[in-house]
Amino acid sequence: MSLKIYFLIANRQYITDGIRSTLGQSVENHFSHACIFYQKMPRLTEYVKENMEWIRDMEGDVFAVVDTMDEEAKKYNVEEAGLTPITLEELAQKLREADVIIGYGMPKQKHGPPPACAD
Amino acid sequence: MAKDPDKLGIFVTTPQYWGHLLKIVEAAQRAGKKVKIFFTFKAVHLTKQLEFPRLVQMIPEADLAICADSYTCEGFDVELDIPGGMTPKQMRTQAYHGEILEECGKYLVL
Amino acid sequence: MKILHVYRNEPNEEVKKLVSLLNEGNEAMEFNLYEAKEDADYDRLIQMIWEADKTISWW
Repeated sequence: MSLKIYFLIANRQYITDGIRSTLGQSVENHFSHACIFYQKMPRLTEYVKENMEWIRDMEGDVFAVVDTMDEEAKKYNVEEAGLTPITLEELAQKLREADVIIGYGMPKQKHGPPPACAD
Repeated sequence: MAKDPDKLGIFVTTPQYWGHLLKIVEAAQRAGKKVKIFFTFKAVHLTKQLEFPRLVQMIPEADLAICADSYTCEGFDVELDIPGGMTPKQMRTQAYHGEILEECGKYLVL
Repeated sequence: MKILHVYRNEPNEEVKKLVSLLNEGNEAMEFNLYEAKEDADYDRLIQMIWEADKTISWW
């Protein structure tokens, strides 16, 4: 049976892998979604773009939870990175229908990334 | 496959909660329950904990695996450096997480 | 439905809001994993996981 799965990702260092893990369940024929909170997306590599496209092809999605983001992150994530905007309240309604909710990785960090891991 | 109501799937996504993981596995086994565990992304660093082989021994071979791609991405050698107590069969893909979701009646993320 | 919320860390405002919206019309239980220390705490967690229909573990 196909499950409705939501990966919730709060920590920037876990975004790229959280999306990969989301795709892992898309290819298992589940409706798999990644939901990015707070953060501006890391640099968009071809790999990440392809993973996002593939998730959407498999009837999942990659969301930006916009009311948890500052204006810069929101604008970049939606306009440049192509994430689907969603509010916390709208997401909650989707989560009520979910079979599996995954708090992926660590909580958000208080400080932004230093240059060594900012990409 | 029907879900096993007595099995707890644990999806380990970060190395942060190692102490809790061991305690949860012990508590599940005390209660007569089974566990099935998948380590992904940075959680594969837990394979280097001194107590990791003890965890491996507590669980049947088919019920513990790590993400081989994550292991390689974190700099370890997937062929020459199989973690303590594990076999090559336990070096798996994200499909193993799918198995957990399909097979386990209960599910926890760490 | 009976939902168990497991908090790996102290929940922030966003987690609290999602939890309260998810709990509407459901029976809810909570477990503070970040405060767990004794074997008895983990025994209680296992008991709660089996009591719940669904477990959500928050960052």
